[in-house]
Amino acid sequence: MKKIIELINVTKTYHVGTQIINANNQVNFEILEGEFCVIVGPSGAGKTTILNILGGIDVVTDGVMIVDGQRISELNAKKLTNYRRYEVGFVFQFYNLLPQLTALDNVEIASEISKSPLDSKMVLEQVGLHSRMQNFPAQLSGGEQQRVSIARAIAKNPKILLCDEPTGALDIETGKTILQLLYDTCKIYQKTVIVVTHNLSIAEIADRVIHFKNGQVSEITINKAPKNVDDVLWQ
Amino acid sequence: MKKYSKYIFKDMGYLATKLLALVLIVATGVAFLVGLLTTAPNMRYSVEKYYSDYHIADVVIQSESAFSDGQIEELRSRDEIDQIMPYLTVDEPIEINDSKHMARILLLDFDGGIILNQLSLVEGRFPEINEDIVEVVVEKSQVYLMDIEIGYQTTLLEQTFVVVGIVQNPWYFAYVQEVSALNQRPIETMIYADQSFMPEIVFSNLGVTIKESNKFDMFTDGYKTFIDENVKNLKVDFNDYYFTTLSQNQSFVKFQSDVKIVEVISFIFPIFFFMIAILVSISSMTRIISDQRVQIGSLRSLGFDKFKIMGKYLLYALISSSIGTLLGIALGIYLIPSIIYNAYLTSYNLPALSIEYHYMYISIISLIMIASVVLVTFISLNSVLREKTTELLKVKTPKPGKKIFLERLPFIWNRIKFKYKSTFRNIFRHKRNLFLMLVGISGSTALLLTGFGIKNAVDYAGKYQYEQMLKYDLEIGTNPNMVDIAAINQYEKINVMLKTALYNNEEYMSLIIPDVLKDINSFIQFKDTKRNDIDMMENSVMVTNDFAAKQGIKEGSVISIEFQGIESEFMVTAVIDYYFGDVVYISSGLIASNYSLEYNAIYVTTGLKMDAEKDALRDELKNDENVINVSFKEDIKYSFNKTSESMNGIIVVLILFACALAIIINYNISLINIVSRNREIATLKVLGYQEIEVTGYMFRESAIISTISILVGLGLGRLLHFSIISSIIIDGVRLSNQVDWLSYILTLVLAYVFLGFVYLISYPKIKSINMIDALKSFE
Repeated sequence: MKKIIELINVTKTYHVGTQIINANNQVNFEILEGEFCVIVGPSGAGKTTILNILGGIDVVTDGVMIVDGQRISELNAKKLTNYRRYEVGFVFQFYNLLPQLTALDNVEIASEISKSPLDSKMVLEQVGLHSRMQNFPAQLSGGEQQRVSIARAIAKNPKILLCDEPTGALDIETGKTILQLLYDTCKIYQKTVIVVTHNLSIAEIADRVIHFKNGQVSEITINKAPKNVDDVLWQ
Repeated sequence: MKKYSKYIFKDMGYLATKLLALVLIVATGVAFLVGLLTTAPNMRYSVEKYYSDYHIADVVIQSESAFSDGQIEELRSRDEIDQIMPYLTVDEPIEINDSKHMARILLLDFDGGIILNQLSLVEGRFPEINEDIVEVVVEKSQVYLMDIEIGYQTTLLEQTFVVVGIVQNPWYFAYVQEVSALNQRPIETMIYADQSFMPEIVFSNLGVTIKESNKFDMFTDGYKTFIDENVKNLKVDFNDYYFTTLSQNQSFVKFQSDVKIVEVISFIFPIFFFMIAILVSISSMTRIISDQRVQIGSLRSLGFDKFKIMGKYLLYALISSSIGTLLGIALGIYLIPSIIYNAYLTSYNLPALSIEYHYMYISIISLIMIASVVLVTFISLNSVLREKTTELLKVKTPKPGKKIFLERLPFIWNRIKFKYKSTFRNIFRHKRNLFLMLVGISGSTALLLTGFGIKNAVDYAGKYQYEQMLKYDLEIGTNPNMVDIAAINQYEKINVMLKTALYNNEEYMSLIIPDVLKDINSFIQFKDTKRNDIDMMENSVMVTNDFAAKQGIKEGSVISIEFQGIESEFMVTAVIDYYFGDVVYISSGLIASNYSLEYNAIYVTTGLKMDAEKDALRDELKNDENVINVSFKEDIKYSFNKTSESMNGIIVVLILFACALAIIINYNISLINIVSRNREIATLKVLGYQEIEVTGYMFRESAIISTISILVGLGLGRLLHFSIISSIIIDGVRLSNQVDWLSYILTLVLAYVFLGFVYLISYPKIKSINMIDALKSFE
């Protein structure tokens, strides 16, 4: 399989007043196409920052990020927006659905600007929301809202799916079904899925686990035999 | 506690932009209302101050023959009378620059002191007694008075005189035409000399002040009644004197009517404006409170009591509305009256504006403004504080979407792209925003249209009368039946009888009776009320529309008219479109049998273009003893244009403030929109929407609501214009209530320019929304 993501010496620093904070320091890793990758680490380890950089909503201070052969770290704002538009799909912990749009509209808002979108209704059916398409976010449960959010990310038909604590706001059972959905997405749609979490048990289902500590990669493990979602003992 | 107050001020800095918008809208509303409401009173006050500074006479008494010392003493002993200043006026044609001009010569006691109607020196000096030459001062030039320079010498009453100064007389401060008592000719200059140059001192006029008249302000009804009553008492014993009270003085009457116009315009307009300003301020403050829920919740959870928290926001409301109010007062109280008053200086010789602080107006306006903002802050705080602290700590869940009416029409709805769907849903989701925009934008649009419309109305009346209606270019007033004037023999002309008549035994109006033997229609183009051309026929009786409306006269009505002591009935054949007073046109054929036809005016079509030619004809006519006055259409048009110009000040104020209101409202609303929907904007950015697309998404709904509001505003403006115009009459000229299509276009264009301008300055705000910050701010 080919490399889809490659980070070389990526550093991210923030200036807070006169203080300089290193969110990421000399980060190096690669992810192969179609992998289910989990980035784990304690709070403040810099995993969300790296996910934001991967998703093109934040930029590197130093270093190089290559996605599918394109040097993303060198793009201007407009091109970076196009990168978000065509290459990545985002799933947030708190869903970020537009409250005045129905579930279907929320998916269409993303697919409409995509080059080769999937059929929104079909995707919603596949995430199990067949009967909830015309509901507004406020009428859906947390798990259902996260499904809409995943459907929105999938319908854009991006190469990479980025998920920031996707199960963080959900109970264990719902969390598992969401995880299963993401896993299936990875395998059925052939997407590269990257999940950021502080929950180590999720790492057991991943093909690749990248451990973060103090803004740096502390360890990368390749799972030759990842577990099924159902077999994971939730912490 | 110290920490808390520090925090209060720190937090205020954080809210600065939002509070600044509040300060601005409060300031604009207050400035406009304070400024306009005090303009008319301050205009009156300025003239009253001028009057008292220069000791204006309450009454001028004249007599057929000169007043004897005994007569003057008799008057002086009356209880009613305070001061008496005897003087002499003589109207006399004099030679200036090689032609005769009608002069009013006032002989005053410069040496002993002029006690009433004192002159103010504009240039030069007052006359002194000089053995060889008579020194005089002349009234400052204006539309009707010629310009004579200091040092000019000529002969007057068989003596040589020299002009040593230019003065202003408070009795003649308006640009109005004074007519000579001698021969009804217009006065072209006023000359003041010391009475000592007359061989024998005689007095034709007595300037008089009434005792205790200074208890009243001159422009009040109380003053008029007081003076009129005293004059009535005096008349009983001095019934052969002529009394002219200050309230009958031409300058006084003209000024009062102009101030009345300002008053009419400055009433409905700023109150409407002020209400919009209050509404916008209130909504800004409620918005600030609802954005501060989490903050309030944190303070509550830390154990701060309700009163402390309430105090913080009430303090913000109080401080910003007070700053805005003070700013508004400072701006409004000088700026607005000055602009309006100074524009009127094209029609008046007056000293600079004097400002009286109308504390009553100021305090009421300030109180209403500050109280509304603080009260609404209190109410919305109260409702926030009533919620449970745990609820407050959660961000209020966004208002859920709702199906709108359009969605019940699937054949339309399904064809709409989602971005428009969201736009339509949003329009109805934020009902308060919708309402605010509707009121604010339609209001400011209405004000803008009214401002332009008033200008149209003034211009239209003049344009219609002088360019479309009157085809003759010269009107000559003559002695009765002395219409054979040699100087105009070569031109097309028609004899006209002008008469004041009594209508239905109750109201005076002007009667114009053209000579039936000539075709009046080639001199005047009459139009009916639908503005179609109509001709005057041999049996025509035509009534002007305003008079017809007032008296309920219609085509076919029978009206009774009395003049020359005879009352007759006439059937009205048409109601005509007309803006210059209450007039009935009757064909001479209809009255010839019962009345004596006395032609006393001539309408002439000279076609003269050059000023030199006109002046030559004018001089020739003036030398004809049967000619009383000569007015070229251009002269009247010029003076009407002056009047129209003098209204520019108030129109500029109206338009400027309407523009300011439009910008502030638009800005305020777009700010509210962006701040409260930053999460939505960030989400779209994450999804890969370009900034320009996000901006489009944000502004689309505002543009739709704005467009609706602007259209509503145009209709509203039409109504506002109508209600203001119908209560304005300038110099007997009624204004047209038509609004030029150009004004509609200009208003429309301006409204969109402001909208675009606000979008332009909001764009960087949308651009600067940071996706990461906006999306993580959920905790």
